[in-house]
Amino acid sequence: MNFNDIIQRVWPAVRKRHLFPELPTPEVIETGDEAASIQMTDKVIQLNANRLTALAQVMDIEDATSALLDHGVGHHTICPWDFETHLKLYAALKPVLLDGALVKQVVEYFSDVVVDTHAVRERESKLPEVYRHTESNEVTDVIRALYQRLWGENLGVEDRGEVDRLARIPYLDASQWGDSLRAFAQVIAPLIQKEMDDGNGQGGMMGDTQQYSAGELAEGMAQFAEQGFYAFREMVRDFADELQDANMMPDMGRGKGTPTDADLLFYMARASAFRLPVQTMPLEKVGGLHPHSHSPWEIGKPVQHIDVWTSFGRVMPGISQMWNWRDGETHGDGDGIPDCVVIVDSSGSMVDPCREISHAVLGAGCAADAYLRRGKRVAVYNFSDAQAGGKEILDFSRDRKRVFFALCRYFGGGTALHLPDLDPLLKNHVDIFLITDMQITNLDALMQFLIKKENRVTAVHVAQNRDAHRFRQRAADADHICVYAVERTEDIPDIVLSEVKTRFQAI
Amino acid sequence: MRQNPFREFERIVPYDLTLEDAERVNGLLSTKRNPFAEFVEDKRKKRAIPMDEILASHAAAMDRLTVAYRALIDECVGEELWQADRKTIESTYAVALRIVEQIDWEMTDIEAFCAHALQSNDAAFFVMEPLGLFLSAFCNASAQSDIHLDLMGHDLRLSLMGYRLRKGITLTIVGDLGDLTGISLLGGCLRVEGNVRHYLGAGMIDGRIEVSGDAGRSIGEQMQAGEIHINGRLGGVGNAEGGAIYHRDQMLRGTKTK
Repeated sequence: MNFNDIIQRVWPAVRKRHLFPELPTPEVIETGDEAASIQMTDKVIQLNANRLTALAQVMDIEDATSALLDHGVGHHTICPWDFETHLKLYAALKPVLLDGALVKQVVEYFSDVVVDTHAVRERESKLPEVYRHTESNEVTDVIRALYQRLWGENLGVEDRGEVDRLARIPYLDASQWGDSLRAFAQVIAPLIQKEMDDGNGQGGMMGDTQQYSAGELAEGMAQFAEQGFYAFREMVRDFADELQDANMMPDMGRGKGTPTDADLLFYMARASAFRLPVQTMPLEKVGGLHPHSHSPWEIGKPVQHIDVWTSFGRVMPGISQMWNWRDGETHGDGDGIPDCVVIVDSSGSMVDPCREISHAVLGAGCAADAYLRRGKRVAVYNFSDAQAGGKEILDFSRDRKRVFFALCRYFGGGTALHLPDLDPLLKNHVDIFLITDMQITNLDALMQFLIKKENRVTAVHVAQNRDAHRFRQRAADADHICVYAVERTEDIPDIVLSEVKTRFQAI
Repeated sequence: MRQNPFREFERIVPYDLTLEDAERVNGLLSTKRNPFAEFVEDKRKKRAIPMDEILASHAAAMDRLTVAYRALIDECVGEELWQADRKTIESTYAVALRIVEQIDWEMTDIEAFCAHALQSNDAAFFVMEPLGLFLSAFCNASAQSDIHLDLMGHDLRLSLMGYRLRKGITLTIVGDLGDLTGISLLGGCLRVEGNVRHYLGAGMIDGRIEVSGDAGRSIGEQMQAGEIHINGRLGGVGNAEGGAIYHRDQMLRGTKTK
């Protein structure tokens, strides 16, 4: 039996019923997770050949294929639809159940009920026939009993007491999914927990079908980062496999004061929420012509433009080929925005970004992001007691992960800069962002150093103290240094971004 | 006469075309062809399934119970402040019992109503204190001997749950509860899988209360008989007139009963 032929026959009708989702043609896989009827890789729905073969014994194979595809497409078009919605469902349940693996399983089953019910009600799906022949276990029997009640079809399972409560949930009302999921979990979670304890948790009625692109993951994480530092850390721990598969995990190594992957991802996601609009670089004429394409030569056109290599050595109208010349275009030097050096204080008086949210690091990340988005390079000088080795220096780079890794490192010691380290970074007219509480041991030397330089400096200090006051006084005479005193650390990202915006507009 | 090459476009107005016309003609840009026809959802394909009836019936039950609760609030609270003193509790409970007799309900409706009331934005539920009495009235009027209410995942703690729980009923509540839980218990068994606040089992006549989590101050205040078992931390035991209070295996007050 050639399943691929069957898919080719069935797929156009499935697409039409689901209003033409943007999905590639599904595939059949011979191997893979035996328990999963459907998997998704790069948005391609993959049907399990063994499962199809088994279904072919008991029902029409085209109906079976069509039904499985209804289920797979439903996850893409209805629930969860994208990673952001998936995380919203996860966030609705996580505070109640706490166990991340259990939460994910419950969300899987819930989204299965949503897509299956939607497919049966609105897409004329043959899913009831498939569920009539589904392997029996504690959880699937309850769900099938629920389907039996909701769909009015005999699926060959006994009615269950749990269904009384499950049947009242408005699965197709997306605006109530949070409450619905919690009500669903109250009944289903203990059953799933029991299955998991027995080592049988399989991930939904058809297997784990969620698969998201890196863009969807990044967008989902950026939205989820608003839930807070600790919630985000938990989420990354729970979705580590998915993020790893999508190559989203920074994997920057371990060591004293180094941020965890979750912390790095949090600051990267939060910073991306503060983004400035991207200004595209205009194309410029380079002032010269280059041979672009061929066209047949005709009498009256310049002979010198004939391409002898494609004209078979002849000069004949219609046979000889001549070059068409075009103006050359390039992005040129573009906007004149310089690279950027972010100097961030990670001494003991600053907040450890890995323990709670550090708005200083977030602000530094926002500034770095703004330059990286413009295609510029960012260098990082993260210091505590720099003269004693408490420092992290990142040379100019466009690698966002490395930049954030350098920003998120925390030393927690004294506060002193080693100025010779900064010299090589400030050779060109780079912009400088300094974020500190100004309790720097060699503040006078730093002031002298910055006043002598011609780089534009934005200094943001997070506390009002005598040193900060002194710095402001000294900087008052220097036009290229701009000092911001921050009352509330939460304001740092906005201050930094508005300064970056002003700079970009000034160019 | 020269033909206008754009004449076909002039008459194509998609919303003028019916779906039937669109399906009969295949030519693209035909005057009868609606290019968006395939994207129009066909209402006929939506299948009526029992779920619609179940949800409609559920919504009707919730509306009925909400109206009943609103009637209780109007009668017992009105524009005044509802205070949990003995007289007010007794009079409110009497009204709740009367209302319960007047409406159609099933125990599954009450389970769903708990969650509905705790997450509803309906103004009727802004006064939450009598809700515990209202739910207790349903439990006591139920023919079911084993009742299970799940309040997990809600920040609000219901007070006065299990009020006058009668003999022969086992009420299991999952989630945290507020003050005055299980007061005036009349021989029933109240199991709380969570924490409770103060005055647990105050004035209970008989029966059994089991709390898996913590309990606040004045546990068993003026209780006359029965048993209270607490598994978590406790804030303090009240002045009991009889009965027994246990903290895990240790008896804190009273005499052991069978």
